[in-house]
Amino acid sequence: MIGLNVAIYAAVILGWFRARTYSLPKVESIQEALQLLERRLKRAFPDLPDGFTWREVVSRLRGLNLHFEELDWDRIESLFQRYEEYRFGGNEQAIHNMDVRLVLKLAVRLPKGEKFAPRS
Amino acid sequence: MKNLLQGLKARVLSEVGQAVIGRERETTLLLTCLLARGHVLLEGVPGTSKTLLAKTFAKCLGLSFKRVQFTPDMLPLDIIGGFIFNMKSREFEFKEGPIFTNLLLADEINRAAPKVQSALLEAMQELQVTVEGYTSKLPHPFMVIATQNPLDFEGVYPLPESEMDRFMVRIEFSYPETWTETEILKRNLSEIRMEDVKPIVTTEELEEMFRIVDSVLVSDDILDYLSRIAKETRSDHRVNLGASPRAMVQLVHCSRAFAALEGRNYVTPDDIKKLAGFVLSHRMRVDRSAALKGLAASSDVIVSQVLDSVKPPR
Repeated sequence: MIGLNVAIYAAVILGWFRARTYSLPKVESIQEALQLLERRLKRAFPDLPDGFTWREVVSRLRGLNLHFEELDWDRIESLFQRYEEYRFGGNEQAIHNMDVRLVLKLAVRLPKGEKFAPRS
Repeated sequence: MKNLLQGLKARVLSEVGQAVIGRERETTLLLTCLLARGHVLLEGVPGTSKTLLAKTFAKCLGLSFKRVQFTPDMLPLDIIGGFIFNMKSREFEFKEGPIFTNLLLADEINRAAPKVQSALLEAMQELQVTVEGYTSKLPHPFMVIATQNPLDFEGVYPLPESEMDRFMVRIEFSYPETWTETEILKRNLSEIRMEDVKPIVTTEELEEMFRIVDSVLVSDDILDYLSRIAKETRSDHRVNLGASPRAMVQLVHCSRAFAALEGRNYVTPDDIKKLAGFVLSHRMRVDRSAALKGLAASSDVIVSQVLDSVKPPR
């Protein structure tokens, strides 16, 4: 009986902790979501150079093969492509109905203490 | 647009691949440079398929092609042409040199004396040649593909900075990977038939592609990013000569062509980062005294560090 109680409480606490850790912050726009991602990236990867681009980040994170369950990398890449189209191609339509949660999910799931530069 | 230029790139890579193995990156850069109206310097030891690539590239694009082997006893007239007395008409007539072609392969360019090298300057920059006050336009498109062996020190005249600055990109030809070399050996068991390489693009299509490249957008943020990169290369204490304004202009043009070949009508910071090393490093002069202070680095490394330190628009 005691064992069962411990297991149940442990599961509840773990669930609460997980939900708290991975809860998505509230943002108004894609730009705000990207600013948040940038801040989190700098915290997660202390060696991240100032000259990084979003494509480099996505490609590197994808290659790290970390536990990014629930993350659809193809959708994330497509989102950044649409953002580029808006940012550098001047296409305002490209960011309409953009799912910013994808960026936020990525931001809250970043690992800690990893090296951004590939290990030689 | 997406289909036309991406299709062209795929077709060129496939056609060139019939004769040249494992040079996709170099072929893409040649195509980028052609569409950006630039010239290319190929650097590498002999036998790394520099000449074969240039010949195959010209053939598959249906362009006229001439090859000039540069030697120390050459004269400028051997390349650009000169006035010859016509006995019939009793007049001097301009006889065009081999430079009057779409694609000129200047093989071992550093073997020719500086006066011959500088004869190319006007042609490369202004796409025309002037002999004794007579100016003649070169055909369009016009592209110089020059080769040089970086390990040659005897009997060579290193290209001056002004000449280096005329080349849009420098491509270094390294030895192939083991598997590529095996493929090359296999291919060479029978004769490589250049006749098998077919022209895959018409003049009209090529003109349309130039128009598409001209329409590629470069946002103000990207231009600002380029200016900051230029400033950073000039202020690096390991560098005597940073990137010139011409270098940055060429980087913009090159990036537009690259973006178009990727099927985009706008330039991104990634385009700049991918091309900067090829466009900037050969124009920069590294301070030799930096080596004495233990700060030695090649210009490639310096460009890469500059790109790491300059924040791109995001």
